[in-house]
Amino acid sequence: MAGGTGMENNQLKNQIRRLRFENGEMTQQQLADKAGVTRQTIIAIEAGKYSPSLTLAFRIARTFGVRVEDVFEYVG
Amino acid sequence: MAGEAKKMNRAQKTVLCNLVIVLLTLAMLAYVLFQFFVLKKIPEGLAGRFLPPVVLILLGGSLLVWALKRQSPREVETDERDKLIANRAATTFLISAWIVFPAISVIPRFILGDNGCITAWLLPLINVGALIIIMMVYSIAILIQYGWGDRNGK
Repeated sequence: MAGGTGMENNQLKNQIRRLRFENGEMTQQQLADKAGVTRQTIIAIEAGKYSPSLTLAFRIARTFGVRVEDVFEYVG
Repeated sequence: MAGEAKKMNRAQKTVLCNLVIVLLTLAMLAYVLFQFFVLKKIPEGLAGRFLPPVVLILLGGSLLVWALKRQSPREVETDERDKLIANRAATTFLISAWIVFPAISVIPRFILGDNGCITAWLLPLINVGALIIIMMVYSIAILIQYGWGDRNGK
């Protein structure tokens, strides 16, 4: 989770979309507000276009009340 | 456009705003130069002289209001991804400065020859032109990294 943008081949899978819907159909904007980032960053993470920093990954996991490995999975 | 705009964050909108304002300014400059040097006439009356800058200021102001409007009351202004993109764009800015300034210094030599002359007032104009090119490269670098509005990101 080095924090990368755009064009790299991302090997980090995430469960954000599923977790949002399991948490009262939380919108991307609501998750962004709770995690302290912009909605566009959530969109990019969800689509696998951006690898968040470790801090942000923990903040997202804490928002859903789960462990960070329940949100992100490294596919090596 | 409205759907795309809704997907853009403030940093994207600000950069797009800069780009549009620069392009509008260049278009207005081209229009004024065309009138001066091709049609060889000076616009008459207040409307003729001040309409283009007034239109530019109104359009630029509207774009700035649109860019600075928040999507949500709790929306953050920048986050880690914005900073990363800005850092990469700054590197692009520096690299393009290293390329554009020397290139633009050499161009008059190719046009005018080894012993050619240009008037002194053209030098700052050439430098401003180079700066505009570099600013456009910077803005485009940011927009490309965001994916032109994250259209594939939803």
